[in-house]
Amino acid sequence: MLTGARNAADRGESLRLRLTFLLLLVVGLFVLILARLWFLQIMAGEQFVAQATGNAVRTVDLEAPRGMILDREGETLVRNRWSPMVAVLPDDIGGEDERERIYGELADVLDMEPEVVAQRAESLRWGPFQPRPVATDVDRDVISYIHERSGTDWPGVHTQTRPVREYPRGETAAHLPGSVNEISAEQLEMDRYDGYAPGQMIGARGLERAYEDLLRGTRGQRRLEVDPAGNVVRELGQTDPAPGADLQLTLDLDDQQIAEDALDEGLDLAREAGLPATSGAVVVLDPNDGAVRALASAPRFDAGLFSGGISQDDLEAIEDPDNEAPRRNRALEEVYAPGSVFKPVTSLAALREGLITPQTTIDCPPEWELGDRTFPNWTSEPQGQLDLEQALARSCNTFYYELGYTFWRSESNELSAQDGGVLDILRRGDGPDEALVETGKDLGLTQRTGLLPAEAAGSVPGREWKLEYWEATRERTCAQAQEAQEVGSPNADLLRELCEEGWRWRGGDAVNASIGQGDVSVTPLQMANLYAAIANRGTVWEPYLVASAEMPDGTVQEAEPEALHELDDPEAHFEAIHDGLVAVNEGSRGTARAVFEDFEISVAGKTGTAQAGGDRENTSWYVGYAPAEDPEHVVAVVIEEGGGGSETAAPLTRRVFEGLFDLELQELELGPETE
Amino acid sequence: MSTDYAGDRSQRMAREEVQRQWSGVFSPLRRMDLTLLVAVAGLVALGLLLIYSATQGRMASAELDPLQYVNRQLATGGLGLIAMLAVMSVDYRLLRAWAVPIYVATLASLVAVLLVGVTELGATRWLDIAGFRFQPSELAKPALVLMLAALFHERREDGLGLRALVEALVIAAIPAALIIVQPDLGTAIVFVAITFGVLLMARVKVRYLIALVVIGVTSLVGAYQLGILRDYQLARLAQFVQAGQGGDADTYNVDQALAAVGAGQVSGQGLLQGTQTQLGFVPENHTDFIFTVLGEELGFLGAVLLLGLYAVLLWRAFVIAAGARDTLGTLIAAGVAIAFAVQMFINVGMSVGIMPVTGLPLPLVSYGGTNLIGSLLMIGLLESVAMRRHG
Repeated sequence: MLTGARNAADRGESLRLRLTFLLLLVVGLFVLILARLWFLQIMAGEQFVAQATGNAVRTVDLEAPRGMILDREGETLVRNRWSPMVAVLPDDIGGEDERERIYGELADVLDMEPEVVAQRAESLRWGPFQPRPVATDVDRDVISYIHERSGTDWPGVHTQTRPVREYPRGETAAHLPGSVNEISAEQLEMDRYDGYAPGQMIGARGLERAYEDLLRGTRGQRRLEVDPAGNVVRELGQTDPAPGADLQLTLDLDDQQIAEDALDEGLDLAREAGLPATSGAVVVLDPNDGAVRALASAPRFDAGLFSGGISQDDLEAIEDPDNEAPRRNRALEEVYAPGSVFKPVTSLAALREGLITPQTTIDCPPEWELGDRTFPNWTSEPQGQLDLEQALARSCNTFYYELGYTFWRSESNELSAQDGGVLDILRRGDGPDEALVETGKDLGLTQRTGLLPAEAAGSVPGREWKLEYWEATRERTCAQAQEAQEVGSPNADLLRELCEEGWRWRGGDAVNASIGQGDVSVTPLQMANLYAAIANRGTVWEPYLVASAEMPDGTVQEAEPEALHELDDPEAHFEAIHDGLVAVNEGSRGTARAVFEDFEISVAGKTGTAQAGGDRENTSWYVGYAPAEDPEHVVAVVIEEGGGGSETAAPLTRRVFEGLFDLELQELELGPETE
Repeated sequence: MSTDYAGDRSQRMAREEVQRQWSGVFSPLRRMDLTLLVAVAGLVALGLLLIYSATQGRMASAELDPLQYVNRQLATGGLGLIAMLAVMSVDYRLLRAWAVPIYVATLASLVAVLLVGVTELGATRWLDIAGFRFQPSELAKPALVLMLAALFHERREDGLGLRALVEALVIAAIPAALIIVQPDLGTAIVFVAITFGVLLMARVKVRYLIALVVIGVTSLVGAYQLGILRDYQLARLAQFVQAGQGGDADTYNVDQALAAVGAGQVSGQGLLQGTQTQLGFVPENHTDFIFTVLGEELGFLGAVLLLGLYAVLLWRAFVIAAGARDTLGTLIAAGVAIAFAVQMFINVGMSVGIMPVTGLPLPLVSYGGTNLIGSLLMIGLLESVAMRRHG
């Protein structure tokens, strides 16, 4: 009995012990689960929320129409058109075979290659739920044919419209808007294109590119909730796209038309006279604030080719150099030797340096000698002693040779007075200030105005420029010298000298630069802007093309004209040059007198006849402003292989002024060759 | 004893006899564990809510009755309630006599599953009888508990030698083997747990138990080596190890489950508001993955509520086991407790990525008739033990 009781007690003890053990096991299971839940839901919860949201929510981008581009009067240069388009969402189609069948049939209807359809439809550049465009600007009949079948035979094939650019003015100002492209894979990688999505259109050139941020607008988004199969369960919401801002240009399409007509007519006339006159440009600026009124370039192309995307053939044709590359905007993408239209720069430099006063006279012989080289004036008739006004009016080269050489000599003296080797000094950038280079820079040469992308900078050469050029081309020059020596070419000595001493800025280089030859190069836009600074007596404006931007909410951002430089030269210097420019047209021996003699508005301007190198015909220039005493317009005209400035560019400028001032158009005829 | 008064004595005995008769009738009711029933009701109700959330959207979009699953679960719940009350009303000591016939019937039904069962998702687990589909393995759990408890009760006086141990293992191994073949690894693991729990509480020597664990682990490794486990079972076991790293199609289910539970954070996305649940990213979320609905829509707090209800259930089961009037009662209660605890752990653990995906329902909560009925039967067994304990 006693042992039995103890047994029973033991048994109870043992039972409790075992139950406790079992209980602990169970408690352990609970602890494991709670710990895991603590981690999942409380510590890592946010990450899972993001994952769950990513699972269930899809966003579909809605394209924003780009802003319009209007001229200063509100005339449309670029607008949008809703283009009928066929797009494919392959996820909705199903199996491989089905896709192949649909792509094949679609290709048939669209008159495309099945491979192209497949490639565009399966493009990885688009997000899910975003139908991929297969063909744009599809015929209405084809659209309705496809639409009828998209529900049944062709699942996943959508017809929709997409805003595409349209250029109602065709060839007029065709160079300015540029174009839009689908953003490239490389661009998408770049930081500056943050926020762009695959398939989005982006400004590729011209205004479209320069003002991309304003024009592009803000894409909308549709947020969709989807199930695991990708079916849309419901729409969660939509942010409507905001269209881009409309740009109002300073450009006047009437003025642009005048400039283009004059340019075309001038080119035709020159060609009739036997000149190649391959191409040209006309720039019209407001000298009082730098507003661009016209930017004409010839040859031109039809901007309408870009409506809804240009064909490869068309694109090649307008970029073909054998075809004079019509797409090139010669008003600012091309540089030319300015020739005599550069002389105001040399004049201002000489006045600035105190080399001359407006009254100083310098002899104007037919020839000017430097060592064994002879630099000619354009006429073999001695002109006698000329002051600045006369030198400009008659475009006396020898007058400017003297100035250029004097600059060179004093700068060279300054250089050799410095300690150390000349090459080292120049390499350190410690060379003397060069009057012509500095004045050119002050007047806006050698730098891009920033008006549009793809602008050229040009150059006003000097010692440092030449050193850089030599270093950049030395290897090639020396190789050529080596080769010339081996074959015993007569050029061998010259090439060897270039190889060894080519960095030297020689007197002859300076003399050439003084009349805008040698390695001086400018864009027509720079030249117009430079003359504007003379017209307004010292403000070098930053030329601008966009006057205002109207945001989609109706607010308007106005552009403020900005000065690149305010020159502090005394007014008398500008007056002196101005007098010379007036005398070009009105003086008894002015080079453009014959052209502007009977013109009812006083014009200040300068002819230029620049050697183009090789056997190419001279580049014909005229840059001027009018009315001379209260300038409203600056016009720069350049005709490639157009002969003398007074011959083609000057009459063409007159024609532009006739249009700008609403005068009766006189018959356009070539002027006399006076340079 | 020496001061008995004869006259009084006969009177008192008659009075006590009447009392005994009455208390014999009413005392079981008095001892009924109400707390346990409240916890069970809470779990079933929570289950109905979660089933509704998991199925209503799907049903509504198919233009079917959104309450269809809920109603069916309610109906089987009613059946289960009746079954539970029936078991409760019978003294578990009487059930001991039925242990063998029930066990044999269970084996028969498990064999029938293999012969004529319905196959779904690669597993043959169901029997179709007159249009009703039921899963014998769910009913095999209470049957096994009863059978093992009866065995050890029978052998209690023989000393718990090896013989009883081997008999118990054979009794457990036969249905477990039939279930593994279906294949239903999860339920088989629950069988192992039940057996272990009953062996432990039957006071089998600790050294035997340790030996069993060693042999069990060794044979598992052996089964792995010999390729007895099915490919998909291996794949699931492997995926469970990799889950959370994302990507692989094999891990999709678990990743979606984890995303759902994790996205619930502290207080959940709100009932019917969880995208993982409502859009159907988590598969089987009204049955095996029902915990993900809870986790996503009711959050950590909801999970604590569920675990709390289970804790109450298990607490009561342990109290009942400890207070049972005999070894049989203790073994039944302990077996039921361990069955609930392990099944809950395997199921929830699968939804939170700490257990492999084995296709086991959450007892009393998951949609599924046989599971609910089987679980309620086990609750009935518990109550039956509770109601017959000593005052």
